[in-house]
Amino acid sequence: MNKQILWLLAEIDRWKAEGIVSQEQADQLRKRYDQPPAPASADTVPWGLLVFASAGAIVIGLGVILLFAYNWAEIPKFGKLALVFAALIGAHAGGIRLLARAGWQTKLGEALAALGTMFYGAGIWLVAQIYNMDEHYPNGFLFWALGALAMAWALRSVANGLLAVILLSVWGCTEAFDFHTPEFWSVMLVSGGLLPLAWQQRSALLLAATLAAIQLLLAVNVVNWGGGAHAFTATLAWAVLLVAAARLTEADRPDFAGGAAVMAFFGFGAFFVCAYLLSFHDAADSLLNWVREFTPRPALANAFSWSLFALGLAGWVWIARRSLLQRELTINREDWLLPIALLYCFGIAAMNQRGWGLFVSWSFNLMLLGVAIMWMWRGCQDSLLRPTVLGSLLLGAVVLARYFDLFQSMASRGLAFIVLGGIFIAEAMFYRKMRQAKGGDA
Amino acid sequence: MKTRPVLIVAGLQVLVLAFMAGPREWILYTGTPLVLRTAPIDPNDPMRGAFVRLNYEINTVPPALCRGETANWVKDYDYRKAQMLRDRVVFAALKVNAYGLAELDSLGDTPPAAGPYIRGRVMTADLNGVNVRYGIEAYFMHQDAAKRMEDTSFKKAGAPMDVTVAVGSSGIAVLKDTTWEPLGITFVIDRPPQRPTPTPGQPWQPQPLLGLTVTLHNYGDKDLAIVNLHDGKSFRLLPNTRFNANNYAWAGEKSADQPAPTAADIVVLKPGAKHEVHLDFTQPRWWIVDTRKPGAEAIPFQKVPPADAWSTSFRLEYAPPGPEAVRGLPHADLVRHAPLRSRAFNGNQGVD
Repeated sequence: MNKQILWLLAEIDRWKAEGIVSQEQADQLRKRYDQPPAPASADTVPWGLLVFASAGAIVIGLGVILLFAYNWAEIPKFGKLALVFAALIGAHAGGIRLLARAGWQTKLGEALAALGTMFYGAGIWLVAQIYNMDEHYPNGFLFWALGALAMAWALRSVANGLLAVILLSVWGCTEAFDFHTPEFWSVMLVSGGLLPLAWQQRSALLLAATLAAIQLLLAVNVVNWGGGAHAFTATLAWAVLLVAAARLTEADRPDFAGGAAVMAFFGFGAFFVCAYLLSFHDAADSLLNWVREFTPRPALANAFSWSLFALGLAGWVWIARRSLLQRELTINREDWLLPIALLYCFGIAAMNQRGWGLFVSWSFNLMLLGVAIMWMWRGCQDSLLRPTVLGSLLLGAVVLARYFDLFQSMASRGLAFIVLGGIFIAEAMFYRKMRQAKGGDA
Repeated sequence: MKTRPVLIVAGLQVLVLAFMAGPREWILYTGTPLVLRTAPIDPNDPMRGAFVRLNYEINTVPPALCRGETANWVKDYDYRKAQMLRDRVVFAALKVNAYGLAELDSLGDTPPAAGPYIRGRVMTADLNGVNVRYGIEAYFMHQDAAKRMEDTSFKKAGAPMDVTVAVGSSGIAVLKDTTWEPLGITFVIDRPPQRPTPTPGQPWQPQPLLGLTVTLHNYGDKDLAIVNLHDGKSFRLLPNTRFNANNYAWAGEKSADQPAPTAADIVVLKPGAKHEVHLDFTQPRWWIVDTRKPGAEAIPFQKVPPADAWSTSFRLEYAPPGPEAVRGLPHADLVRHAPLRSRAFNGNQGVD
């Protein structure tokens, strides 16, 4: 679905809400553009109830964990065990009872199930406390997360899914930071266990949490296995794959426009962080040190980097086919810089030429400048404020980064800022002119 | 909404908790009881939140006690391989000594053919040995009780804690109870007169270790007796390899020169009483030998080269003669025979 249609559908919803058009008229307008009628208001999810009840359940669960952690000396061992089992069974029994009912009670049932999962986590730590178990403590988070993940799928529950994302991230990070044993399965469980759920439930919130967790775990794991160079390549490939997925979702799944926006946000975010860091000489040098000998598990780091590379490239080949050959998709020109950057980054890393650091950092500077200028140009031409502002911010960030390491004299630094200021003024004039030409406010 | 999957998942969550608690409860009732001694290794910070961190003597396994595959881990050290060893399951074979305390017999990667053993996991493995945790290193309690135990550990300085564990047939140990040993050991290092202030620019010179004044305390509520043999022969030096590569051993380690005790050697300590013994480390009895040089001569602590002085770390062990040796002597029934280890000290007068 193109952006104009998306805009129109949002406007129709607003007209309907403001009483400008009736439900029937709104449906007729949607039908005219080959869109299904909007769901009736009675079927919509009571988000307020869901969000506050789930948040309340999670906070109560945290409180219970802290209460148990107090280690009440007055309560005998079996009393404590009875308490935790009763709380767990009671919460789940109440949840199941409400889930069998219709309407808002189902959502309250989901919140109770989330509370039950919190009690389950509290139970893990309490049993460990009762029996003085000092085992590998990240396993506690893993078993808790698996319980939350299973409940998320059983209920199709976003609240339990969010809990699982947080717990799996904690598990992966504690394994990597506290024990230096990064877990391959942390990335796989979050990807395989929660991305399909977020997609199926069309939950932008769960998708955002899942993508953030994958990004974090990917960086933490790969940097432990193969060093910083692999963190760059894997993250860049992941970013390029996400932007491809965002573009395909926009086109093929108009009912999940929020998801496409989340993917684009995390994709471009990760891409810019990588490209920005690689515009520094030291980081570029570390990228050229990709084929390292003294890292714990280079094979696993390579497997992650190259798998993501293959998936990202395949996504963009598919997009190229549909946009260039079949003319089904409209892709912004600057988006094509992402697969080009991917090929360039992996090519330069695989060549293992350590003396090319300066050249690589300059090339990433040019890449960032290219995206910034293209965003500014497109924003002005189409009178769109977001790309105009983002392009300007990116340009400013690049100039600021180079302020410290490239421009040695105060004269060249001053000149750089004069040029940047001049570009911003020219951009403002161009934006005003194009907006006036399209009949908008200057 | 289909409730059956939710019911199944809720049931699984209950089962996981039951699986955690059930076997341990079973071990508590049916497991073999063993008493393990915690080493006074971390006396300055024994608390972390509302639990006590227990450092057992069997947590640190010297290379000599490693068997099978574990012997190769400490022989051929490699950083990458050592990283991969973390959390590997190992089995500590134990033997119960004459005083009822379980001691480490060997550490292997497979369970021993006979005798009690505890299953543990590798924390670190290097040339100094293997550090193992057995899942019984934390003793959780109410925060007030933890505070009381912290206070007790200061009041009973140098007294080890004995921990009773129940061990199941698979080697899983469950902590049952703790008791404080009534006899404690502390020491004060001899401080020679201050040297003249060095001239500016001159490097700092560490003070050599010349001797110790050891104190044995009766922290219990009953009378007990110690055996104080002439010339400090109730004491011996044990090399400490916990944190560093110690290249020195006690030269008197292999000599069995403990004389038969007499009535005069037995000292009765009333509750709260203590007894001091001075050990002069300049005397040949306390000299040490460099284990890197075959046939090296024994030297006193003050002759240890400065580069080695920090890592030349030892513990003092109070090891009185056994029950047979004191039989028939007055107050023989009050004598505590179990060996008692002090905190570690090094050749630069440093104390752990």
